[in-house]
Amino acid sequence: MQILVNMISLSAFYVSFALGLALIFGVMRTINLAHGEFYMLGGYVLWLVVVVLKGIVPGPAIFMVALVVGCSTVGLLGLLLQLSLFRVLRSQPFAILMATLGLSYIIQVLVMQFIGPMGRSVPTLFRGFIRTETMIIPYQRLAVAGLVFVAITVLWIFLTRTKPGRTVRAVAQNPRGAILQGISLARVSAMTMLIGTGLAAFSGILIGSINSVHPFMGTDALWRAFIIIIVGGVGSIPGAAIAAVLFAVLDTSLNATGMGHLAPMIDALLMLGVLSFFPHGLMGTRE
Amino acid sequence: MKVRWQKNRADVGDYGSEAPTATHRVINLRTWVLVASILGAAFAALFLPFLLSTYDKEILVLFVINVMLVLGYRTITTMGGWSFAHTAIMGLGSYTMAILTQEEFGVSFWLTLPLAAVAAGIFSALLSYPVLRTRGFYFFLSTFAAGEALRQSYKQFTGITGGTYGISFIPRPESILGVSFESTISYYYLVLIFTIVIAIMLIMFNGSRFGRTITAVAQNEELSLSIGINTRRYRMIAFVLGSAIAGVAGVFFANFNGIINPADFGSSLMFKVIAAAIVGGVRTIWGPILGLFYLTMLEELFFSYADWVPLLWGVSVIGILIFAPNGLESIATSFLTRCRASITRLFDALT
Amino acid sequence: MLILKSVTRRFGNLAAVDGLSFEVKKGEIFGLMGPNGSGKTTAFNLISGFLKPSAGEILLNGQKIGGLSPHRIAGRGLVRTFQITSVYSDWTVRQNIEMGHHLILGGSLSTVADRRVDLEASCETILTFLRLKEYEHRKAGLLPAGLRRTLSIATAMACRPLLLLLDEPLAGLNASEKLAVGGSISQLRDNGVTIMLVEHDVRSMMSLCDRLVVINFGRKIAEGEPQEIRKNPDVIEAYLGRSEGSYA
Repeated sequence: MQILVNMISLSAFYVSFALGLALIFGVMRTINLAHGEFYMLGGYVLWLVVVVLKGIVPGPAIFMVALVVGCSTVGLLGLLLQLSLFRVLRSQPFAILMATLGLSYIIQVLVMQFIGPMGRSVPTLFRGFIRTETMIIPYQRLAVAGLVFVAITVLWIFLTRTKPGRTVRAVAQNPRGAILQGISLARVSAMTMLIGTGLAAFSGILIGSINSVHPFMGTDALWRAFIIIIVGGVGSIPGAAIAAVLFAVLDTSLNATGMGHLAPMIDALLMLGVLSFFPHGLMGTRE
Repeated sequence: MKVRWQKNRADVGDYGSEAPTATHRVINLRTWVLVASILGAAFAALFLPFLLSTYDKEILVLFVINVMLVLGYRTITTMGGWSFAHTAIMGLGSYTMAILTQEEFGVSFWLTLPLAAVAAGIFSALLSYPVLRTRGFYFFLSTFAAGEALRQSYKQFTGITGGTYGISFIPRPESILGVSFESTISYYYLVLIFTIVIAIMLIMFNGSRFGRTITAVAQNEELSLSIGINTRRYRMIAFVLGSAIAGVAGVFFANFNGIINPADFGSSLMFKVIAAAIVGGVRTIWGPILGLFYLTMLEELFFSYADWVPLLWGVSVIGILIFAPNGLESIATSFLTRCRASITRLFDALT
Repeated sequence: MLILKSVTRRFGNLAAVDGLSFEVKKGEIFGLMGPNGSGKTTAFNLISGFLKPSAGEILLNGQKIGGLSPHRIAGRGLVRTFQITSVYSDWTVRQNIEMGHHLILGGSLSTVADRRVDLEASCETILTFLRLKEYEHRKAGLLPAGLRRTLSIATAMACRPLLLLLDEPLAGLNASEKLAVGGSISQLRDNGVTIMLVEHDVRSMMSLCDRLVVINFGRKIAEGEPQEIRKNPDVIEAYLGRSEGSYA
């Protein structure tokens, strides 16, 4: 049963992280390699908020403040990136990929210089845990899983029930058709970037509250997100979610059976295997 | 209805190195400049080490090894793919040598060179089956993941690779014809020879029909398929060749340092390789070398601020992508073209 | 030369091509006609290997080619052009045509001197025949549409195809360009190349083609010579019965 808890917890994290990336790629047809760094920045915002508000405000409140501050500031940063760099290089999506690669190093160095290269740990903000006969569920993890669930639901509602959300999906499915319908590609791209980056920060804050934060946590997490997106299918948002859960289950099982250290290799092999038979991923329909 | 889209011959001349037709072999001013610069570079290359301090000599050796690595990377880009597994595959070559030259196996260094190339070649050939089904972004992503998996296995198979501690006390190559390679200078000439041979090989390969077919596939895959080109095979050849070269570079890299561990083959070196290719440009052989030179200069100039160097590289990459997307080589080429034009005008004016 | 037997291609539940059968005879110009969405492009892609058939057989000179990859089919002598003209934009016209000789030069490793002579002579012949000689050193990407179109045909010709598949060779051209390209196509046929065309311009098709097949909804509705097709009531209904209006 404990395993189930861990699986859900890990799924939550994988999904939120990969989803932001998949969203950006699905809509803007370009990969933001600095996505991991935005995730990292989210984590650092949490740490900063903790440093500032610790002892003044109760744990859960700190967490909420961090979420609001983190997601909005990092989201705005992403927006800024989109409005500047992405706009300039708009005609060469591959150049954007490389530019964001460069950007990720810039952000890493800045964080290391101004905050320090060592990781920082964040104290548990939701203290206590539920204990049953078969498992222990720290409130922190519960909060994290719950929040991800809420976020995903909100996102789903946004994408399927609201007009702006449906516009985003329209562009993701058929950019040219969307333009012909009078949809402003620029506005949709901006909105997508805001949401996608905000999601990255969101997962950074969540993970930061459980583990520690360090300047390289972005790169550590990013390659897994790539595997998830490839397996899920390029441009497919539900595909990314399903693949995320798949890998979370796999990784938790490996951890539980003591083969956790083999997880990266097995994950990559699985990706390569899927790619051999489904070049567009499990649910990819693009191109 | 003649349209005024005429461009001057200079455009065609730029592709002279790839065209098989005889017309571009005519001796002209450009050729003289080329010959002069090659001779100058050769002179510098041969005698430079004696002018440098011990530390700088080592930097020079590592630079030449990196040139080899970057040339291998460029080979892969000629088929249109930007891989992120290159340095991990380089590690394969390194570990092959490091493991086999240990006492229990006692294989000669010189034998590990081809073995490392083969190991890297086989791995990349196998990898190409899933990975070459992808293009563009997905190729980048899947090679990213594959490279990471490879690096993880360097960490995990502690029995073979020494895990995170790696392997140390790697012996230098055995002497040949009385020449020992314990000193940095002799090692420098060793890697220089190998790199020059590889560079010449690649230049010939590029100009051959083989190389041109690969360029054709990169330019327009659909068209290439329709005229009977087995695109999958040609892309694979470029990928395997480039990876084999990385394997060889890996051998020298690990051997010169005397010690390796998985961290050596991480994303920072990979970033350096990609940055060199982007900043320098990949159309010519010397483009990435120019890019690497720039990055290394930056690294040495800001030695006391070493932590800032990746940031500077990142800024350089972004700068080039915005202002000169074809890299430094295109800036250099157009500069030389304009020089040639002014010199020609000078000649005309005087005669 | 080319025989289709009950070829079908499904996308999900929709059959874009449904039990299509026809025959292209050696040495003729054969036209594939049909209103928008009738399955012409799908048929083309099936024949040239860019799509695999769900059912049925495609035979080239008696050999099955259905399901083979495009480069293999090209190796058997069937070369196609593309609706959105495909050239090697960075290369010159001459370099494009040289690359087209990939198949007939055998393995890519051979750069034997006498093959070089063949290459130059062959390029000259093609350049002159299709009136591209004066544009020999222009960058392909900079050519106007009509010339690019002719270049793509020239590149295809360099493969010495038994059967040439032209995908809307006249689309987007003005009247004089159409005459020029149409003339080149006839010339090719006169020199022994079998040609199959897909085109929207009904009038041009009627004058260029020796025989035609008309399809609609992925199925054949008529096959025969232009004067028969012109009078065929099913064909007339297929074209005029649709709200898109007439094509000519």
